[in-house]
Amino acid sequence: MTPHLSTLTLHRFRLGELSSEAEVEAKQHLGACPTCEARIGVQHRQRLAFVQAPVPPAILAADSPPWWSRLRAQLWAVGLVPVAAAVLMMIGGVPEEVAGSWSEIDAGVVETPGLAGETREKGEAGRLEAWLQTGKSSRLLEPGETLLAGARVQLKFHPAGRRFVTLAGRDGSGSVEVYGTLPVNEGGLQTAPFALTLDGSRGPQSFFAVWSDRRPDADQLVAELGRESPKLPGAEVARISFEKE
Amino acid sequence: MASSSISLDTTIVRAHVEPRPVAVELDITTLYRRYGDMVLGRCRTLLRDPIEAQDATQEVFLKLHRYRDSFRGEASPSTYLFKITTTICLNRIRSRRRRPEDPVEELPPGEPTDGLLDALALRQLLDRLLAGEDERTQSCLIYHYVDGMTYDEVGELLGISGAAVRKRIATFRSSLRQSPPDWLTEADR
Repeated sequence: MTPHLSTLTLHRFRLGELSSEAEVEAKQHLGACPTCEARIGVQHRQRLAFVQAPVPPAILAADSPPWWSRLRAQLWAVGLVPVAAAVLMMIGGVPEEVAGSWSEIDAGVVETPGLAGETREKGEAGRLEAWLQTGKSSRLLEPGETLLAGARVQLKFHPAGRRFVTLAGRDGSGSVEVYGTLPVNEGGLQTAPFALTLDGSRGPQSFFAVWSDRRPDADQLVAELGRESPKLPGAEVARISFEKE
Repeated sequence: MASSSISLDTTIVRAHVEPRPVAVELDITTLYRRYGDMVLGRCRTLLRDPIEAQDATQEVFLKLHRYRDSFRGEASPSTYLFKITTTICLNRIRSRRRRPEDPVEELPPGEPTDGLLDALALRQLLDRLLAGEDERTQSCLIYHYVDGMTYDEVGELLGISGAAVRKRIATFRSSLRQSPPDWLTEADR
């Protein structure tokens, strides 16, 4: 046994990736261990320095789409891909997963019965992320940052082992808007298939991710997410908040 | 519902109406932004060379991109990245030892890292490891002494049992019995 938290555990604690139990243990340890407190302090300082630096071109280049993807984009621009897609839909229909997700987003409808069970409020950092898009690049927003009118925000979330995730927002007036419910895929971080553009109203702005195994009731969601401590039985809720001006 | 403070960006929505599932894509830039500081910090800790640490960090993410299919099975990107960063750093240290004439721009003395060993102790440990331990034992000892992982944590990371880790570390310790260095913990002596 070692008397300290491992370096990896400190990172995962900082990133909000530990289980609830491990997170509690880590917090207790950090409160009592000056060595580990200093080590995580180093990590925080390294993070601050890191976010100031640009992403190396070699990393950005790794994500540039391959030639066939660029060709597909060009075909899309001239209308050939939509035609091909329409033909495919007539032949075999759209895959269920795609049709489901997009109809939900387009309609903005959250339907069906309420939730049952216990609500568990999760930590912000590891579950729900907001990314600020600027041109072709984007950066992870830290909770509490100030966002300007016109800023374009992309939400990302972890699956959390549930079937559905509902993304929503609440502005300074307490008004809640549900953006849509998506089926959750297995795997790591997932990107919401839409971006959000902030308007000019000022005040706190929160974004929510609500994970559940059944589609949540829209009215219940709007009512609960309007409260400081939402109670959504059977669901997990993550919130990330910013200042808007 | 009250008036919304946010509007959906329909440009983005349209861009995604392409017939593909809403699925996770391995976005290296996103992973770099989220975990790059962890990788860079680890490279600095192990390599003690800021320039080489930058190179190694890029190598980690480019390798991740190249072998992205193997990444999909991993539960946690942080764990996966931590592991391959360690491997890449140890490879570089071994290579550096084979070319001792190459100049190394050391980190400023006393610069803190998130590891449990200071620069001198780490150098002593690496000297001992590279003098005669196999690569897996080197990894075990780095994770245990530098990162403070338990035997079970090391075993889980390397895909071996905690008992096997304990055995490797015990064998290493016994080789130091004659003159135990300061960085061996009291429990290890």
